Amino acid sequence: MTRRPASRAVPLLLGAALVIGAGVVTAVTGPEASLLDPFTVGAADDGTATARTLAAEVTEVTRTERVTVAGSEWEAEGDWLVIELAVSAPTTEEDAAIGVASLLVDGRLFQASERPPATLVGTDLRVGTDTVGMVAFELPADLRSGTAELRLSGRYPTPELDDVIVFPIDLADAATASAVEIEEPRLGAP
Amino acid sequence: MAAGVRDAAAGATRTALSRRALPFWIVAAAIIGLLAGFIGFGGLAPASRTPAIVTAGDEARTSLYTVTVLDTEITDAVESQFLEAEPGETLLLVTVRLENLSDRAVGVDRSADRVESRMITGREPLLELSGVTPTGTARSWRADESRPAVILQPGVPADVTIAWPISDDDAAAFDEGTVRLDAYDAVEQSGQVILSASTITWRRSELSAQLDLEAAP
Amino acid sequence: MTPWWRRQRVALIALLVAAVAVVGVHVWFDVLPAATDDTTVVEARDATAEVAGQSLSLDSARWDEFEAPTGSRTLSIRIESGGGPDATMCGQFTLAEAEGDRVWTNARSVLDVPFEAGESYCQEESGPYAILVVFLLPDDVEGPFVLEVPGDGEVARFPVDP
Repeated sequence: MTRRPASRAVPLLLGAALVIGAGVVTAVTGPEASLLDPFTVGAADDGTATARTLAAEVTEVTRTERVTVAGSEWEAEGDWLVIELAVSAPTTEEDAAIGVASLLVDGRLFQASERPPATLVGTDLRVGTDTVGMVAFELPADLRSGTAELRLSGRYPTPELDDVIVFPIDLADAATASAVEIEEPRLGAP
Repeated sequence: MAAGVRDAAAGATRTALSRRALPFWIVAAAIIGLLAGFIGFGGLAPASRTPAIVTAGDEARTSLYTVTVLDTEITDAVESQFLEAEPGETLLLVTVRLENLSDRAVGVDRSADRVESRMITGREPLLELSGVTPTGTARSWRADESRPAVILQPGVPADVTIAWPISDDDAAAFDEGTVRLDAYDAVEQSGQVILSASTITWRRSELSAQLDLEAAP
Repeated sequence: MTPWWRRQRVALIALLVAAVAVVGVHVWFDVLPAATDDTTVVEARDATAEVAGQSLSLDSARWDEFEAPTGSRTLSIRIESGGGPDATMCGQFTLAEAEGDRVWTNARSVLDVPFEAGESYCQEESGPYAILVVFLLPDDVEGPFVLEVPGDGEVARFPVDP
């Protein structure tokens, strides 16, 4: 069947356009795992972030080289970041606790250090009354970036399709101290 | 007959070198180019390489972690960890400095928020004793004796003591220096676990280094 | 020319029947069994209910009996239990707002409550005893509440209006 030269190019162009379109769609589509990513919840104007099972506020951020624990002989040296939080449960006290506290810096994900005997992770939380406690992160000596992200989730491990509270933390703005004493979690206003 | 063969050869040559045969030659050249590249870049070299032998105190580096043997001890019980060897067995304690080179915090013994390292437990642990067979599961704890399971933060070296239960006979033979700590390389594998969400698991690959343990005191 | 849906009548009907069957099978085998809640609720009559093999009766509900941080106060609820040979364990006591959706659990572990003041949970096979449950409530909560005591596939509900 004879065709005019212009219409001979049309199938080629159509094919090329489809291939390019497929390439763009593939590039733009996120990985399959991100379908189940948790929902991030940020802080409101008053600094409190309220998720489904967790309400939290950052009260203090300190960088230090030495951490000790009140009432214990344990101590450690290194590059530590101690964050004080006031946390409560918004709706129910059943199974209310911080399950995972992690810090995202420089593309690396750090977990709250398990070394200090006192930590807010895993402590039972109450409805209507704040629990004030500290989480400590042990950081490497070669941190380049100045901003970090604190991620808190109400269950262990980090859930899918559930809330995760995210606080941006400016490491350069953090107070520095030569030593920080980590206290046991306590009830009450910070 | 010779003329017929010559004519056939000439005809074949003409066909082979004609313009219609060009696509065939392009494909052949591409295949030969690929093969040459493959061979040139070492594709035919044997896949495994001999593991490095590392003396105690030196660092063995794999793609996901580094390990350095600091101290070795044979003892029957560790009171601070409520750990006691069964009768007829004793404990081989190896204190190592581990550094996590990956991007996510990982647990030595158990998983840390969806990242499992399987360093000392499971069918294919990354750190395994060679020259002696442990009689039970290995246990680990930090040198500063914190109680919970050890988590290795990215880029932060940690001093960890690993305890393997071994039989008394193996312990007696230990001084001959036949026991080494095998450090395997690992690959980060992410995938769905039954019932649960995606997890990153460190899957063991080839043997990277064999570390000498100091002779026990 | 007949429209295409008339020409493909048989196929369309078959497709419709198959779709209904798929939905029906899914609902019958997956949705319905998951939705049934097989715990029976036992409403308390005259502040008394039978649960976990024993008779529990709500004795008193008092505010501010123990020290609480500023902005919160304690509500201590005392329950008398008859005990008896059939008594078994019960689950966690919960206090829920009657009009609202907040739920509190026993806060004795974080408050300074003496051990001898009462039991925290139901006891098995014992004589009559008293249970003391203390909840830490924020100041803006007045009540009324519903106290729930789970045990043995049942949940006893006590209205609490301090």
